[in-house]
Amino acid sequence: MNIIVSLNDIENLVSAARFPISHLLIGDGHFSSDPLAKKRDQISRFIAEAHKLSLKVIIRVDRLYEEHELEALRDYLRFLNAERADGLLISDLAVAMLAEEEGLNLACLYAPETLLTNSSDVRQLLQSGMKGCVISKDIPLSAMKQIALNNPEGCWLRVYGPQLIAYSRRRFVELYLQDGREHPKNYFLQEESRPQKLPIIEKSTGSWLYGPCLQSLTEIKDIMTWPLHGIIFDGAFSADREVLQALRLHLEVLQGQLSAEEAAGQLPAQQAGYQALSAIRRTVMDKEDLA
Amino acid sequence: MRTELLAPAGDLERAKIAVMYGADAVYFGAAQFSLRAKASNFSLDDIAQAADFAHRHGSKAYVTVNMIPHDSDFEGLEEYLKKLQRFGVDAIICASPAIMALCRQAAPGMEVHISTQQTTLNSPALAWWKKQGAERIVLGREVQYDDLCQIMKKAEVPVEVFIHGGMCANFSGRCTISNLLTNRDANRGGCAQSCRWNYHLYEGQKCLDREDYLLSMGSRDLCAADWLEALLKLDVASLKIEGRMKTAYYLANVIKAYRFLIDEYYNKGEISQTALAYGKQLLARVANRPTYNGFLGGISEESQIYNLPSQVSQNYVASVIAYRDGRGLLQTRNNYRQGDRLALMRPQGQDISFTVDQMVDEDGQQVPVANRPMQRLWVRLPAKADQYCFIKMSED
Repeated sequence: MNIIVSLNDIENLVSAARFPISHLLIGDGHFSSDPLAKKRDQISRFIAEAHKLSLKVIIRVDRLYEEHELEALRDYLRFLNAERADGLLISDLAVAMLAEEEGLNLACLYAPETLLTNSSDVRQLLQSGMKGCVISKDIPLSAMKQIALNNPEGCWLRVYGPQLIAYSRRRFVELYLQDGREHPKNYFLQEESRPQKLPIIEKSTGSWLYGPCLQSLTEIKDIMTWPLHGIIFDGAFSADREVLQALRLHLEVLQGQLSAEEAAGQLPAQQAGYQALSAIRRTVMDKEDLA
Repeated sequence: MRTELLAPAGDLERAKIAVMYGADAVYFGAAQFSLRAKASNFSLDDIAQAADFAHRHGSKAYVTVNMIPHDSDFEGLEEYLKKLQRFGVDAIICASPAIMALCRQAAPGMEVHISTQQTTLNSPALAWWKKQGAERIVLGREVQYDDLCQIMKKAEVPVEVFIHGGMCANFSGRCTISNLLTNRDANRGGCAQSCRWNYHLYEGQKCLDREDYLLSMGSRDLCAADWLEALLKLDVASLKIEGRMKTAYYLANVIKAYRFLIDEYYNKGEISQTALAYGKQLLARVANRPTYNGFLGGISEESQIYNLPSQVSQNYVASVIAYRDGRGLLQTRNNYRQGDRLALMRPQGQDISFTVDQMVDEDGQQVPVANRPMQRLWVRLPAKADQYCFIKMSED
């Protein structure tokens, strides 16, 4: 099975390549949600170095884009194609259309975070030309499995990483503080009656609010039996060492070297805490249903 | 082609009000497949009646099937779509490629409109949906006017734009705060509006709360009256009012305001400042959150509500239950008394002011003040009225 791992620093490329991974996930500053963004020359170098290590590179092009940005986006996609990026992680269907229009050799993995909650939509998207679909994380594990079973080899699953719970064009922190700055890391929202701190990433292009970090230590053995195209360790704003540590722990559980409980105790600390993939509950419609 | 005015309805009564007050089309949904679990009081029979009523008055009827479905949600959907087609529903509004495909196969007599839940912000995304068979796209509410102009030059599929009502803090369909904090599914009709709650803000361990109020993501409501003429010049297919949970009185005023302004534009070629002021006066009558122009003019610092209070209107006095011999049977919504200056609001024409001269209950007893909710009293009215009329405080 393919394994995608997000990486920020090219210095960690060799360390990452020691793991049995197939793809790296990186993003630039403007066209992705990535807060620790790379410039074009860094992306070029990243792709070249990764290819030398026989790793494919997926580029995070996962924002929603406004009409006035399209020419710049088109130019960026051409650049990625010229640099021989292997694929794109996208959230806006426009990216798939532009790649098709331009005849680019960039496989699109559709990852809108919230919209792929059933087998039929995934099937439709794969039939429409999408090379892969990342199953939404807001449905129970059994529902994720059903989607994978119904779409063999077309699905990817995020097994580790902060879960994006809201994406906005607004800049909530900047509007609140009136400080005219970006707030790309180390900011948190805490609902006034709840203990958990929710990381918020804010750039000129919008805000991304995250919930607890997902982990799949208990579930990973089962997940690896599903007919998935691959699994994703997406650290989002996390440091590379944390993502690689989480990857190592999942692999050691998979290989029977550690129990899930032992591994959970060694996960890097997260302000928002952790949530096991199997702990995602089936959602309801209203208060009465909750009772 | 004239731009359509599209209005919401939470039940059959409100669908009729929407049509009578000038909506070219009305949208509503049954609870099962719609995004307003609490707003949808439409039985299948109600849907059939609403579609029939709309058609008899020259309007169209759209049904929302705009949940982001789970596998189990498809059960019964094909039969439901076929029934909608039999009822003469003109279009469904959906957010799922699979539901779109199912509708095109099972109920090809209905158009498929793509919901704002898909947050379509640009022309290539429009083209993607058109390629899949969509017949109209409801744009994301984040589209700025300059971008809309460019989109309209390239769009090969009709476009619908929101002009009034609630705004999501986040991109619609891309928010699961409610799911995480309350286990209520934002994309299947259960949104708890957790974005409107108060949040502490931290940088690391340091609390950055202001002294006067906490951070809230809650947005002001959209009111695009100032942009209406510009939007009409673009020939968008449809201008949409949000608010399936709003009252009949709210809908009547908002629809009447936009109907008046749109007609003004088509009759005179422009919306004069006087006309705009009158339209905004109608809009200001109804209870609402603070409003702003949305994203049409760019990202506004005025977009957030924080702790600003809602404007609760006491303007709505009574609904009209019946009319006989110059008197109307009024059902009380807010207090009024003998001698008060009230006004009769009708679907067409200006309000007619009058002074309450005598109030009589259903037993024939004179009553000096109406101060009980839903209290029914006979009151002399200045003109013939029916169930589509409202009694409000006079503004003269």
